[in-house]
Amino acid sequence: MIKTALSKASDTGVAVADLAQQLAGVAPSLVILFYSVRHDGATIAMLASKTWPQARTIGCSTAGEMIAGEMTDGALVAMAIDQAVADEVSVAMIDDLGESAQIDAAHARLGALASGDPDTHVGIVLIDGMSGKEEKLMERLGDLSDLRFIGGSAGDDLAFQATTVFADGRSANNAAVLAILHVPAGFRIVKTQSFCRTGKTLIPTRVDTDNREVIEFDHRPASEAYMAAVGATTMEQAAGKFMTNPVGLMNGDDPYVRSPQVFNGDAMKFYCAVTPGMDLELLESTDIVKDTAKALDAANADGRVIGLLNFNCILRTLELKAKNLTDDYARLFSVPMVGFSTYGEADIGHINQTATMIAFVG
Amino acid sequence: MAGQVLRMIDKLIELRAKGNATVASTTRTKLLLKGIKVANWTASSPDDSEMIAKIREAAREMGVAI
Repeated sequence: MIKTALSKASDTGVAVADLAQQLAGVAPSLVILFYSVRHDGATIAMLASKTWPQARTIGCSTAGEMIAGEMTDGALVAMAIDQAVADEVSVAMIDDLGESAQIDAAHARLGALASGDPDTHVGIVLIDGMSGKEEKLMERLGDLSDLRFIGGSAGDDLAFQATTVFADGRSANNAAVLAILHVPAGFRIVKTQSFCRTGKTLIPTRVDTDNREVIEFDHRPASEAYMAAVGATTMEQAAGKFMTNPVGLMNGDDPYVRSPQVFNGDAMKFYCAVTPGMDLELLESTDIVKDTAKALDAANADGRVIGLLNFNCILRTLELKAKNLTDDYARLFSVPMVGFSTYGEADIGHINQTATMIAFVG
Repeated sequence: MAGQVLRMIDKLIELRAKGNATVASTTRTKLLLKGIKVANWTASSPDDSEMIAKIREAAREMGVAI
């Protein structure tokens, strides 16, 4: 069984108690919580551990929460997954994502589940969204494991100051939480981004990878090359195209989206690292609600999906808000779903303007 | 000589996936994110020493002896 809950109570103790009441009847092996930074991460971590002592508890702060039927801000959502769905769960925290991040050691602490069958074991990854270390973590996890790790970068209600992640009672900054679930009935991955190809390519030829900056595309100043690609005559006009015209690293027809953040002089800073020589294609936005509906229908064509964990880019949420479509989006989910608006999504690598979801099947 | 890049990529994927089609597919994506676009290389592609070094490094990181 998978059950979800939402609390809008401002007092953290009241909110967690509210969730516990709504989740009654489930004996969870794992409880996942996503919370606004109006709640203190350490308090949530401690209360979650006390409230569900028999379960592993993980979570992170958000830039907005979601549950089937509603997108919220300032709230707390939770998903309880019982033993029938996930009969084994292992959890490990990487305490410091700095240069000496102990990724291999954390992966080793996940134990035997880390080398489980990729068809019945799925990973969850929650990363401090202000760390800037997502690419390094995802690449190393991919080196170490054949399991799919799905997740997102924690948010802080668009303050861009500090985010938190927690596991089993302990909360931290500049950290990441890894979890592996053995799901005997299996799972599906939904990765959806609402963009079509334009046929225009931009190849980074000078890059500051650590700072996620492209200095030159095609041996021209990045700003000049991007402006030409989107048909803008000023940098201001081009910056207005960032959200609707990001670039994508194409995996066949499937883009791994890299979203521009800001012009820095003639360079372009992205929300995601790019590497020199990487063929990037200019993308054009399409309809988020329609494309997500299509992806969900495809994932649940046989009606076996019993719950969804949704990591939805904050840029998608902002677009939905701007178009007054948050209710339409939230109503797409006909099975229990919780998720949050992220500062980046994880699926094999670190990506932008995407929703990555784990669909649990029963 | 030609085709060494593709042979090395195929070997890396074969050893990593051990016959699992899903792992083979995700390994291709991992290589793409490391800057190795599998689809760009054919049996007649010239041996590119820079790419060969990149594949060796990727294989080392992934714990695969090619």
